[in-house]
Amino acid sequence: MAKANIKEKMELDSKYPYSGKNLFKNPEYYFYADCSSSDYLKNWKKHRNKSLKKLKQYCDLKRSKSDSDKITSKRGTLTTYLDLISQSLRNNVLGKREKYILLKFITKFEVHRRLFSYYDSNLIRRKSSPEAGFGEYTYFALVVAQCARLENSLNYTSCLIKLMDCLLSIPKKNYSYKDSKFLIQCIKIESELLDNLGKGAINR
Amino acid sequence: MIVAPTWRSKAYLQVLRERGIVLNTYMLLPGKEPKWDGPSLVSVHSGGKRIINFSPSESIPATLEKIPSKIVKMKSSDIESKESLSQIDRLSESVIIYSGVGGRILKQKTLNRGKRFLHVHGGYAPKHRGSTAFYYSLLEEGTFGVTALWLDGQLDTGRIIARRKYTKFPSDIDIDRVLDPILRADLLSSIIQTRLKKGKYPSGVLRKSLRPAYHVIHPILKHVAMKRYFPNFFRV
Repeated sequence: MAKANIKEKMELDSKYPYSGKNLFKNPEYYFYADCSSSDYLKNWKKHRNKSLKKLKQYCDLKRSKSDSDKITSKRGTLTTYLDLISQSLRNNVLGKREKYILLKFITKFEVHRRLFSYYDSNLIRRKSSPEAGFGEYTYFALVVAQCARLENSLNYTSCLIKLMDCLLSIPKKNYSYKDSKFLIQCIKIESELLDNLGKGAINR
Repeated sequence: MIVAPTWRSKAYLQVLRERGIVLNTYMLLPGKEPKWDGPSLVSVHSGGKRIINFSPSESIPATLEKIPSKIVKMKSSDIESKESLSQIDRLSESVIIYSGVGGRILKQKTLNRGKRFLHVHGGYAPKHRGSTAFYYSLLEEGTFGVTALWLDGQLDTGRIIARRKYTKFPSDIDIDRVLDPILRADLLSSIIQTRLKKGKYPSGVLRKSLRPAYHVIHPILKHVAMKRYFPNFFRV
């Protein structure tokens, strides 16, 4: 019985092509990606639903030992810039400056598949900066998700799905309670955006 | 024309040949051509009008065999290497049609050598510029845009020579390897035909856009676009 479950798990995982390997260590750029299987979308949904279920279970487990939901950021960090965008989103608007910042980080992720923890006022990474941690990436994904939903933007949606492929590709033991909550929100927003796309409700 | 071993180059050469357009010089970049596993002939049409019966498996040398032009074999596959630039410098032509490897932005050192580079982008610029822009425009508008422009060292921001939107395609066509390259070739051939009539290329119009460039579309979104407009392309 145990062997059958493992086999089924592997089958479910293997049908969505971007599951099963760590996409931070082995970046995927999706050039000429084959998506011609008629089950492609179904397999993606299965993969996301499975991840959602696991994340909810994980959240329930971690709830009693949860860290604070409050994000603390130091000046000149990726988190500070994400906070700026988040503040703008609280007013249901993405300001010009915030949009500029968002697009800069989206481009950095899209081109290099890496973000760092410290950036200067020109959004250039500081030389001694370590790579962004998992918590920073999940926060970035949440911000991108919220902006994609607000603006109904395909550009942001595409980036979000890539981010989620990366984030869900690493072992779950790396997730904190807060990260899990963020990822749950991101998966729900992803699903909403794809449903809207299916109904033809697109902006740009 | 600079000819990299790509689907786009095959499309350019076959469409130009069919329309009787012969360029002075073809500069072939070394490399392996992509393999085709579909039917030997693909009929490409848009809006009810036939563009070409494309033969994706025909090799570039085979297409060029019967063309009475100068063929230059580039020494390096890198168009911006010292050897390549030196070969480009020796060309007498002032306009080069660029069919290089996709995703590359030519540097100013290449663009400032007294030649103009004509590129055909798969997207209706400046609104749809960047990578896989045509998938985004399919999802947003149901059209496939193509733009011919002069390269300027940035991403699809050069002066625009001509643009076109295409609609109504065969529902089982391969977008990446056939439709996109052929539609670009279709616009390119129109521009060259105009150049032959008028004696020169237009300088183009600078159209500024505040919209960001698109990045490679995630295959989920690509799948949605394909399902909507090319439903018979899917394998079960």
